Amino acid sequence: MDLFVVRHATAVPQRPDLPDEARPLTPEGRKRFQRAVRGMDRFGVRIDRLHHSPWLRAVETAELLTRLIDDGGETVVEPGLTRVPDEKLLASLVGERVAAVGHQPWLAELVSLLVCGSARHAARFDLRKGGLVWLQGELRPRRMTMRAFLPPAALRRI
Amino acid sequence: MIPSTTWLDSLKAYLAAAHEGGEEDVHQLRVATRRLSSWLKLARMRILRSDLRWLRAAGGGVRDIDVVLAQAPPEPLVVWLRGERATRLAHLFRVVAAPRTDALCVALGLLAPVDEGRARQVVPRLARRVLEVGGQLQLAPNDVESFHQLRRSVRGLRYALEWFDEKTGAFKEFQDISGRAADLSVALLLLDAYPDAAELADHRRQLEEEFAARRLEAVDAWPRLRETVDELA
Repeated sequence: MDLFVVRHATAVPQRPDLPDEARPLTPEGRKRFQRAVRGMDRFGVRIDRLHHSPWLRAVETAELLTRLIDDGGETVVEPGLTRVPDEKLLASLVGERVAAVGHQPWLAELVSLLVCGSARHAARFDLRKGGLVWLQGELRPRRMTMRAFLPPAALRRI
Repeated sequence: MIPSTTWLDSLKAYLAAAHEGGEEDVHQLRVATRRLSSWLKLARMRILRSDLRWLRAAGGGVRDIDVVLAQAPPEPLVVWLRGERATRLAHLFRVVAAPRTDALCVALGLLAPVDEGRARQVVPRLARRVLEVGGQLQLAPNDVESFHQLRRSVRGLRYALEWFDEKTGAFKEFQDISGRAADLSVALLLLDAYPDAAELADHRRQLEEEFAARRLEAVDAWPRLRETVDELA
């Protein structure tokens, strides 16, 4: 399978009167991510199942990604993307070309788990906001290889 | 601005009540998912609609049985339907208790209200879709698929209008007429799944005749609604 791991785009900063899960994207973050999505499109990213965290910034990011979903594809709200990745999360990521939109540090831990076999090397995968990691292989620890690691600026230039 | 609050609260209430498995609770749970899908359409959002569809489908299995049981089917079928209902209800319970359902409510609750002016711009597109499928049905009045498409698109337009508190009496009237035919088509589908369906051949014939008659009533009712839809397109 192809797994596209996408970190949410730039959201408004944390502040005391706004719960972390309710932070929306900034207008600039939205605009820049739209350009990144066009880059993903040109890069050949196609999705049949788009999983995303329920937090607002991930929902809004995933919405912008829906233009890459094939006919008949679907989106799935996935609470496992708001915590340390586990077996349940891996079992839920079903499909041939799957996207997972979520948050750091858990996305880097997911990439580390799937590529290196454990989450210990997560620090090596510094996924920027709006960035993409393209993995390919079997969705099990150490059974995936990295096809691309694209920061948002690179995506916007494609 | 149009918040989703009313129907999200309703969804949460019926999710809480669903463990009792009551007919009305299951029905209203499905209605709430449709209303929220309509709201997402007005917000031009594609996200979360698959999740609502997934939840609605789980309730739909039970609702179909309830619809057919209300038609007083032959006794052997009733026994089978009750057993089927228990199986489908168990599936609904699993879906309601799933972390995905909770996450869906969280995600819906975080979305900002929809701008009314922007939402109203969606209505003409929905109306044109209704007119398109209505036209197809008039060209082929016996086409069952066109009938169902018209029924669904009319319901979608009605739900969209109701987010603006608009009167939708003409839509409801059409839905009542077409709904009676749809209920009979559900009965026919469930009869197909009944293992001893061959023994109920007379019942099937009766259902088929009634379905055809009710469907034609809906086809006849469509021109009355079309004028209202024309104004919205």
